[in-house]
Amino acid sequence: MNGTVKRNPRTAWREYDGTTLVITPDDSMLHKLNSTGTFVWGLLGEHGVLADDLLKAMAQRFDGERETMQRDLEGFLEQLSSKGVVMMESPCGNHD
Amino acid sequence: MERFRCSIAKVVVEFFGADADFMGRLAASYDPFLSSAAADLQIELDTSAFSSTRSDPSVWAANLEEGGMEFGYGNLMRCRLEPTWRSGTFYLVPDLKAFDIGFRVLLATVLPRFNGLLLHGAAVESGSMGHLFIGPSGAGKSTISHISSNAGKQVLSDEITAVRQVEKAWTVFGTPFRGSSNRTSRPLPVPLAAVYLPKKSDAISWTPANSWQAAEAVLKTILSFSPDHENNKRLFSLTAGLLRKVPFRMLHFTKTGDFWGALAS
Repeated sequence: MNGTVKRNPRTAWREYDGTTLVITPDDSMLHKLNSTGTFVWGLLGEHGVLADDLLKAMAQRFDGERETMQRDLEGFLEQLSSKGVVMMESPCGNHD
Repeated sequence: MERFRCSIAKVVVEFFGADADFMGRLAASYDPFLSSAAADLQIELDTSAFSSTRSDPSVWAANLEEGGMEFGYGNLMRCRLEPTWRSGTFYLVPDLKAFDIGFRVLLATVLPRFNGLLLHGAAVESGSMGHLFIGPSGAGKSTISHISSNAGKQVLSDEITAVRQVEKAWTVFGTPFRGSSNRTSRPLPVPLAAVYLPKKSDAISWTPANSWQAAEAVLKTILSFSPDHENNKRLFSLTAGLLRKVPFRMLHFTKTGDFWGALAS
């Protein structure tokens, strides 16, 4: 995994008991992140994080095969990116 | 110009327009909500030359570059809300439905700026306190209103309800925006005792809702059309404030059973 992942700064969000609710701009849709998603959301912070570092943090936090974890994380981030919840930036500076 | 003022959740909107017949019909239709209090917003109704190429029967909304926003509904109405958010113009066909849709969207848009929310919910008064049952279409709001009415409770609103923080206390208000039952709503404000997330079931019971269930339910039932980041942040903030002050409960109810006894226990 490479590139940087960051929260879409135009989202509004709040965490409730380990579940994060996010409203995306423009479509005003409500998205719910479970405890794992909330963990990832917390790591993104305001300025984003390298995808590799996200994977490392997840490997330290959760049990499981690293390859499975990477596949799940990539799928999750792509899903969030397609919904406008996060923004993904490749190493050469292109935005998805 | 003809004028009338409507007060919903203590937000007073003055409407004025030149079409005397239409203004008269509107004033009669919103009679329980008419007010003589000072206006918070002033909206001109222009029925002279409305036309639209939009035929899609849904609400659209867009922020204006200079501030304020525009919204509309199909080929019935369009509103321009000025950057002050205190005045604007409805361009519409002289039709009660066109006005009603515009009024709903207007109120949903401005109410958060007055620490209030417009929600899909039925409001019932019991013991001088307000009980709010929120949920999307099909959640059982009409059934709950019917059961409550049969139990001698006053139904304030069976479809769309306003809540507003007034002097640190959350208050529930009826609105003139009716559901399919076409039940007459009442503006009467009462302190909000509890919010319920109704669920159809085989037996009557209730449990406290956890915070994310409550927040998700509120955020999903807020009428919100503003494509505005600041507005979304305000909705979260108001929801959090509501959760802090008012208990939320999951209510399992049956189609015909009187659940009020269970709520009192």
